Amino acid sequence: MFPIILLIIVPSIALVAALLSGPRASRPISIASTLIGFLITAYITYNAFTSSSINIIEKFSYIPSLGIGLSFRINFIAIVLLIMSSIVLLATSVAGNPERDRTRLSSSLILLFQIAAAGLFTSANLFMFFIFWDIGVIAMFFMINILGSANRKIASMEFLIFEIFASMMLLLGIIVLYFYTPGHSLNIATITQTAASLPVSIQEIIFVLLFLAFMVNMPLFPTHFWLPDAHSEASTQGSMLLSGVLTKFGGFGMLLLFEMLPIAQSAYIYVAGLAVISIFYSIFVLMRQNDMKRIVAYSTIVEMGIVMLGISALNTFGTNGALYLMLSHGVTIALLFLVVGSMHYIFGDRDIRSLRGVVSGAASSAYAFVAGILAMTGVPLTSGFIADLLLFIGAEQRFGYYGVLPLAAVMLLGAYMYFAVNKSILSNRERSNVVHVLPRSEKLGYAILLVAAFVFGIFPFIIFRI
Amino acid sequence: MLLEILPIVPLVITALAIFPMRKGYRYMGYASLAASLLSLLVIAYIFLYVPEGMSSMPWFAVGGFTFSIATSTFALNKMLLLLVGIITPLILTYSIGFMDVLSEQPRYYFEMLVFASSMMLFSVAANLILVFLAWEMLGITSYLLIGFWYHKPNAPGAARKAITTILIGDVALLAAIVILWNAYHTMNIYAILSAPSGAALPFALILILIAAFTKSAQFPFHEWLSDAMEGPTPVSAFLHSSTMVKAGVFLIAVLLPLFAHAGLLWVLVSVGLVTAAIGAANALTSHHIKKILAYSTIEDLALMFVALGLNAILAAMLFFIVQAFYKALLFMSAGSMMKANNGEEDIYKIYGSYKNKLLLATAAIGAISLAGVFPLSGFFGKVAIDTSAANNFVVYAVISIIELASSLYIFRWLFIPARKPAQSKDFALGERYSHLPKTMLAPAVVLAALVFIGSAAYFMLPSFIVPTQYVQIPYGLRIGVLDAAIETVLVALGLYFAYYLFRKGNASRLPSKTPLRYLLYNSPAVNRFYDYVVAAAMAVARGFYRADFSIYSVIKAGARGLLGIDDGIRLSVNGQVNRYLMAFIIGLILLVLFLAI
Repeated sequence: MFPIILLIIVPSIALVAALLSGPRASRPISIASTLIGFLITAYITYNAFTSSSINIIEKFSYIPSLGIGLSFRINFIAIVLLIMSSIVLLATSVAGNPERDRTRLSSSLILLFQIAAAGLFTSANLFMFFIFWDIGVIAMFFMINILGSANRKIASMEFLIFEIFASMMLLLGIIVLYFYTPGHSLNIATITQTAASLPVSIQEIIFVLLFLAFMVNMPLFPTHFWLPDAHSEASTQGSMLLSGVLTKFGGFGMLLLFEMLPIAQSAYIYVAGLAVISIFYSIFVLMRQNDMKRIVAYSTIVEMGIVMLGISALNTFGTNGALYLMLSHGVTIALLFLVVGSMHYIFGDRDIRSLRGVVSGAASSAYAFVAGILAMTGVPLTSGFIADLLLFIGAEQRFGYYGVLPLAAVMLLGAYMYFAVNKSILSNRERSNVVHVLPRSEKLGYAILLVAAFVFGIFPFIIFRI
Repeated sequence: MLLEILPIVPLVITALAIFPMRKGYRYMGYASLAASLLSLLVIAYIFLYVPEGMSSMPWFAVGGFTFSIATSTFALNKMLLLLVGIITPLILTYSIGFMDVLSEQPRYYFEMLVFASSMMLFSVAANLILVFLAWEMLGITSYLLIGFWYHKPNAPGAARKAITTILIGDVALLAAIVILWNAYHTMNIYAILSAPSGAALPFALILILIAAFTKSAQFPFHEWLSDAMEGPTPVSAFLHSSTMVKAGVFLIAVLLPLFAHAGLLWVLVSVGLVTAAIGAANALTSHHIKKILAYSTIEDLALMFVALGLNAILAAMLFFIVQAFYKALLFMSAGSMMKANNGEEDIYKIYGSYKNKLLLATAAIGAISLAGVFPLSGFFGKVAIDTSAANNFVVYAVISIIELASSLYIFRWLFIPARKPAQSKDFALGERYSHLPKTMLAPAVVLAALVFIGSAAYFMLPSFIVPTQYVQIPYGLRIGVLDAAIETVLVALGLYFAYYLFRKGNASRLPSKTPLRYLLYNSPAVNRFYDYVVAAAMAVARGFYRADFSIYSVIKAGARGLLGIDDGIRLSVNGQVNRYLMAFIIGLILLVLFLAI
């Protein structure tokens, strides 16, 4: 047994310490906290790897009469997402802020987000899930609203409109669940057991409410409009966490939802249709983008649509593939945002129409970007391949040949990415001027994320033996 | 366990040792060469002593299903492995002379070694995961190598064209793998081949065909290969002889029983014939010394597909082997001529190849072999394909015309650069010809010898590739006397025309005003077709983008409105107590009034 609560206590203490300390000390504190978080996760992973059972449960009562309290559970899904989030958080606290601008605030927000991520992925009841969800949203709101670039105010408002809507739906769904679950419980395990006995109409209401909430967060097509602006206006660290971890809140929620509610499984075909629409819609919008950050942002919608497709396949391969894709995507998208942020820092520009000659001005960023594209398009030896392989096997089992159709979007994504590489990274004729030199810490950030992408691509059994 | 992966070990180790170095050193080429020789030794051992068989290793398991990687040493595997093993050290030797810029060395040799090891991995891969891995590695390294001189104006574009075309095939192959896995629950190629029903899935097979056509540059995916000439010449020599483009042909050859079973062989024949015609026509008209050879490769690969489509696997594999030798040799000669002419690429501006007798002799051997003259290995390869097409008049006729054309273009390729330079031309030309590095000439000599020795493959192949459970050989390897005679006449005719047009006369150009030009100059049309496809995709994208943008503006306006409310509230909450008091009193009055009414 391992005290999972440490995953939350450590960043909480670190958060207080960072707020009390000076700006200089705050960055080491956040690095230390995320590193400890990573080590705890690694330890839990190791334990799960060696022992046969992986379901760990811990309980701390808070409002006993309502059955509300801190209760943690760790299962396969939780471990995978914890691994991903701890790696992304570590990389984020190390890199992403080369200006060392407002270090105390950014470090504190990273720590706050660490609490949210650790709490959300390990929560055993929906009340906790909701609390940590909102903590994450709040941390992210400030990362956009205060630390963002020129149009941050509007972007943060868009983010807030959608996310508050999502939170509201989530809360409503949870309340309905609470009242209809026999014995009034918010415990996910209890709900999973009893959900089948709920009336179908209630199940439908709950499904629609929760699906809307998670769909906004993921995001899927009609509710994705907060994402591109939020990503392009947030600070580099904000984008990394937003796309790397926050969108996985929705994905995690979807996995929970499809596990909890039997009715969800009968809606799979609509969900899959929505996912496919989302994939193709966003890939075509992506193909007209010129801002590197927006390109990467839209690729998130494409990939999360593929995740949704995997979840809606409702079989082992689809679910595992979706989970692995969330792991892979979290790491690679954080890498891509970090690289784009670094390019912006180095050249003061991130528009593919004007950025030129990155490979001669900043070779490490160029290589990292290309490696990120490889991981994203599912090249073997990177984590993306395992994810795509499993996910599309699952999708093909469920939907037949239509299931592999979204691979066309992956192809378009790769094609456009190579186009962007050609325009801004390889072209060498009129080189952009180097404004800043990239600090070592950023390269360390690349290294962490790249190693993760390759380790999960070469040794997938680390995950699947858990 | 997975002994067959051993040959790539020295290459990978050397590559990883070279990679982190910032500065280039001369020894890197020699180190790579040594590594490749070592791997050739291992390959020779495998070729001679390792019995046919398969070994596999589990990789990971999901939901009770194990995904493993497997390698095999069947005849076809050994053949390709040996071919790659022989060509690799020759290419690396040539590179030592050709790539003389020190700063480029680490990147170049790293990419080359990874390229070579991917192909070796591909040649022993027995399951689809490993095939896909090697396939993708080939694609990526070729992207990097084609764009190696990214500062050249056209190199990044050529690299992108290659990777974009190949990406179509990659995705198609992945989709095919997924479908095959769901049908057979195995990734093992040989398990699929020996599946009881032999239920070949047409859709998956068509996807595999698309993958092979993109990789092996077949119509309509062929234009990337001629653009790929932007890469360094040793890369072209490697890419066109034994690696990369051969992967598609090899994959189809291994899976041929499935295609035969599904009745898809006619696709191979028809696509092959169309591509061969296009390739030969372009090779006739191109002025670019390397592009002529590139189009010729497209034609050669197409002939291999035709042979496979005729179910004549032995003929296809014989041509597969002999083509590697002469094509590597021709590219090396082209690179040497370019180097002596200061990197000039237009054959009409390259002169005096006769000034280096060794160079001219090896180039001539390569050209004669390509044309298909009797004692040389190219003859056996070509006539074997002719003979296997003997039953089908249309195929036979088209192949014959193509052979006439290939004889014409390759002698044109040989004759034009051999002209005397004009008087006022470069005086240092002879000097440069005679000072070509020995490392560039030596591999050409070895390859010229191999072009002769390769003829032995005709006699050895039938006893080497024997019918097994996985390889069906409906027809033996045969050379018909009539076919040989027809072929020789065609070659002689081509030689006569080439001599008349390009050697004796004033190196005239081919007609560009006759209606023939639509056939002869088709490369721009194909490129225009690609542009249309891209433009169509971008037009769809524009529609989506506009829709997205208009919804976006509505949301933005909403957010702005919210911000306005925010500012309005902020105005009222300004910390001035008198205002609060006033607001309180106004509120109180309103409340009293409300209650009173």
